[in-house]
This record gives sequence, structure tokens and C-alpha cells, in this order.
Amino acid sequence: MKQNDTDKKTMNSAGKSTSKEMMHHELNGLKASILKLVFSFRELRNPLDRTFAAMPEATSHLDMVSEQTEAAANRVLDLAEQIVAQQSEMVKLLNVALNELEDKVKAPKVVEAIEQAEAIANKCQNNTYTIMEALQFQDITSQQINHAASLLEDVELRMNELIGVLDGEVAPLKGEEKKERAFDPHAHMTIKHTSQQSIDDLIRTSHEKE
Amino acid sequence: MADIKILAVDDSATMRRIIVNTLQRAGYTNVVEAENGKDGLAKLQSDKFDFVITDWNMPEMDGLTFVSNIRKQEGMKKLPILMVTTRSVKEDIVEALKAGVNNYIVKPFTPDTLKEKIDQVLAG
Repeated sequence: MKQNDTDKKTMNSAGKSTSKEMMHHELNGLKASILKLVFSFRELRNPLDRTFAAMPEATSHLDMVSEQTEAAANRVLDLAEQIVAQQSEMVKLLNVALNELEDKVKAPKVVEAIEQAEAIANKCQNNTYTIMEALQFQDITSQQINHAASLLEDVELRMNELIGVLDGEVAPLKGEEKKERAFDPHAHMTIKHTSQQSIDDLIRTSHEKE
Repeated sequence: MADIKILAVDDSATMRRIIVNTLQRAGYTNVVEAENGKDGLAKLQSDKFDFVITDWNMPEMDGLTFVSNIRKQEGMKKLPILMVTTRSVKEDIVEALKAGVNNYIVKPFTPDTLKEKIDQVLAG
């Protein structure tokens, strides 16, 4: 409103509410709205502060899951390596027994039993190697966990900025220095976006171009 | 086959052990481990290797940077490199090939695939 209009309104409103009073009323309304907004912000702060405080703990729990599965996978690998070595030794000993028997006596049932035992030992060794291969899950799930932890750290950072806006200043994040996370955001146990056949074709095409 | 010296680079200790065991089963017993590209480069500079197997996502120096750095070194331009990674998006594979990898396997892999690709790369 221009100054002239205000003056006119003041003159024309004699006996009723003046524009000054109207303005006072408007300002009071505005003040009430601002106070309400401040109160709402304060209400918002409590859950925001609680969530913000819980973020590093959530991230640390995820890291703990990753560390524990790695420790467990390595324990399984320790035992699998021992079993493979023991099975190799078992096959060697069975072969020694077989040779000794064949040299001295012909005992077809004993020979057959030793050969079967050898075949079982070899099968067990193959199965043990399959267990080792299956432990690749640890690397893949660890990357998925790292991805989730990284997203949490990002949310923590944004929440810190939001709290900074509410407080009027952005405080540096507390706690330990963030660890460097290396992960593939698409890491998956079963989904491969490109099949090995398509990869082979890409490689062939690339070599042909060279 | 047994004389080939392989450098296996992966930040996951579990994965390195799986790769070493798979290689030993396939007859490749001379394997040295490194936990990231930086460690891998240091080992390549202090020792001679015939083959490199590397992961992509690793802290300190990722596999792609590692491969690019290898290709910049005199005497390592032809060093056979196999990338073994979870990254299976086509654009990533193209990027890895541009960086200089000779072959590429997506995790989880089977021992047969690993052996097949090593043999392919060594056969040129």
C-alpha cells in the first residue's frame, strides 16, 4: 500500500478502527503465527534430535554385521582348507593301502571298498570346494551393507544440515572420522545385469576393433 | 601352469582366500595377495608377475584406477589382467575394457569360469 493511500484511509476511518489499529491487529496475528511456527519447530526438534543421535549407532551396527559375517566366513574357510588337506592325505593313504594290497594279496572286495572310499573322499573334497565358493556371499552382502551404511551416513549429513538451519548454524558432525566405503550399489547374489555370454561378446568385439 | 605367478587383488580377505583356493585347485599355486590397487601397484613394482586378477570396488585405489596405472607403466602394457567384480552393468564392463582389462568375470563366479578365462587370456 502506498503512503498516500494509508493517509487517506486514516482520514476516512474516523470513528471506526484506524489503519494503524488494523496494522497492529495484523501484526499480532503474524506474531501468533510465527510463535506457533517456532513451537512447531521445537516440537519437531525432539524426534529429529533423537533420530539424528541414533544414526551413527545404526551405521555402526551395520558395520558390525559385516565384520561378524567376515569373521564367520573366514572361520568356515579355515576349516574347509583343513578338510581339503585332510581329504588329500586320506586319498594318498588309501592309494598306499591299495598298492600294498594289490602287491601282496588279491582281495577284490577289499580293493573295491578302498576304491569306493577314495571316490567318496574325492567327492567330499569337491563339496568342500563348493562350500568355499558359496562363501562369496560374504563379499556381496558386505557390499550391500556398505551401501546401506553409506545411505544412512548421507541421511545423517542432511539431518545435520536441517538441524543447522533450525539452530541458525551448521555444526560439524561429531564422532569418529567416517570410514572409506567401497561398494557396488548394484551388487547382487543372483541378478547379473549382463550375462557372462554378453560380456564375452563385448570382449570379442572390443578385441576385433583393436 | 604351476610356474605362473599371479597377483590377486581384492579388499575382501574372504574373497582373496576363495580366489587363492580356486586357483590352487586349478593348478596355479604361485599366488600373491594385495588388498587394494595401491598395494597391488607396490607389489607389481617390487616383484615380477605373469598375471593379475583384480576386483573393482576397493578403498584407497579402485580396480579401474589400478588397471589404468598398470597400463601406463613401461613393461606392463601387455600384462594379462582379469577383472573379477560384482559390477555387471554393461557400461561398467565397457569402461573396464577401455581401461585395459583383458577379460572380465562377474561375482559370484564358478571355478570353471575362472579357469576358462585365465586360460583364454594366457592363450592370447
